[in-house]
Amino acid sequence: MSEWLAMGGHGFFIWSSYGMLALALVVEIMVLRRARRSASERARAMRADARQP
Amino acid sequence: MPYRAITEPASAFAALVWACSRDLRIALRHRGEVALVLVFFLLVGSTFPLAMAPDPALLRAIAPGIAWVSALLATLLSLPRLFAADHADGTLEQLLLAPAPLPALLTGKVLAHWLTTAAPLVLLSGLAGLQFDLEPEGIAILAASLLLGTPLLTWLGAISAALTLGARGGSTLLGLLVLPLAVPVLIFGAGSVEAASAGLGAEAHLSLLAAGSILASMVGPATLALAVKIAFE
Amino acid sequence: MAAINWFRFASPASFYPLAGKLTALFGWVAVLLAVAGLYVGFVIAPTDAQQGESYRIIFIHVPAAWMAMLIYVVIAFWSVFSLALNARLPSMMAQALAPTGALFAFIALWTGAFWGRPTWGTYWVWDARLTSTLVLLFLYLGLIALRSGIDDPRRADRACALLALVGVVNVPIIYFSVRWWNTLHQGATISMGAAPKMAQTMLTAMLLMTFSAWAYAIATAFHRVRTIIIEREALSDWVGKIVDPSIPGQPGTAHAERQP
Repeated sequence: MSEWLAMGGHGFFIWSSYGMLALALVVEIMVLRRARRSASERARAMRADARQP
Repeated sequence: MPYRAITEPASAFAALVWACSRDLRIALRHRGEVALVLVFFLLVGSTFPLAMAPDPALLRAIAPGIAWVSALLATLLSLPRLFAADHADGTLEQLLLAPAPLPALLTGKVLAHWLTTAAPLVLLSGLAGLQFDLEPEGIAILAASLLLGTPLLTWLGAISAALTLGARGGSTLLGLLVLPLAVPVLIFGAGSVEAASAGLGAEAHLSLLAAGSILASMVGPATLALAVKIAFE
Repeated sequence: MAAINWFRFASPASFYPLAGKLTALFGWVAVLLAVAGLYVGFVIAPTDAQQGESYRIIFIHVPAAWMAMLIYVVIAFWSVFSLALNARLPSMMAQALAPTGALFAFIALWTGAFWGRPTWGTYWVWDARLTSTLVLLFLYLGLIALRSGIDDPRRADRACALLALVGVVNVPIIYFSVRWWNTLHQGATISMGAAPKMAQTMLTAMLLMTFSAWAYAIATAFHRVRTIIIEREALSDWVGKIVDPSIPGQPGTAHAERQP
């Protein structure tokens, strides 16, 4: 297993690449969800304001 | 100095001449602003040797690149001047409503801008070349490349300036938009001088720059007019 | 297929549920293709004779680079419709795609650097493709910066559309000029294009990963566009049903849903 992780000595480069990709995907998806949540909240607030007489 | 506002429908050529002469007169009144850009050009060029060892051979080798980068940055610095004053006092909006073709009016402004910013840079490039001990043929090619490449640069800059009118981020945003688009001009502009000093001849580079500037001058006016209209929606 | 009136989906209201279904669909497609691609790439594909194991980075480097390019072209495509039809939805799609495109460009650069180091000794080389990808990243950042710099959404739509079109025309010019510049300054005789002689398995893995990246881009774009739609159509009735399901529709407080 550790032999496979070492990737013939190139482990650092391979896992840095795939690791950054994984990090980027996680960040993008988290940001997407957070943006969706805050957009919904803002929309609710705007609609509440609009309902004020 | 009074100027005649456009009150009746004007032809494209008349509109161009009117807009160009108006901007030239304004630039004449603000000579300091114009000179500032040229001083900046020489200043940027001077900082490079100061930041490295002033080895003559090295300087000669990097001279075309530095001259072109300095010209690019100086042009960038001057771009807000194209629209800022007219935007602030409402003249730009008037131009949109004037009974004259908008592309022609804007071409006049761009022409005036080129005459007061890029054309002096072409002349100053000789000084920049001397700073780097560029040989006379190199200086000539450098001047030619600036002459042929700056129109394209000015059109790219004008369109970007129109798009960023009223946007937050100011000159930095403008720089972010212009610099990537200016990469080909930079490559062929500086490359022309290097090709000449390597004995390969600069015709290909210079022709490409000329072609780019001609093409830009053909599609530029309509594109710029659209960009300005977008800025006022 | 032909019987579907596609223009029905041209309004944000009817596009919204479709985008939701497509997000889930393409998300799963992306995951499955990635699992398959990585399996083939790491378990089945052999070690390369020259590059050893480090070549396996191309399974994400090449798809990322291709997608960065493709997404910019797609943004330009939507921008044409945005300007020509003065429509909202194409602009929203363009806005939704830009961040993912920038992300792929960054990944292409990062993985390119980490592939370059073990293979050719340096983290960065000014070769034509990497340099063009760097310029492409700046073009994306310009689009995103212009969008956030303009407050009025419709003005931002059209300004970014024009910028994207100016950019897409320049991208091939930038690529060829950088390639010219690179061949002139032939310091390094390497080319990032010199991928190892592709065994069939390597090619399969790369194609699977490319399609996975493409599906992922579609999924994120559709998810993002739904958020954009909510932001911009916040006051309309149908959005109210989504964000405020407990509160009954209030006639007279909503923007009328106009045709795009």
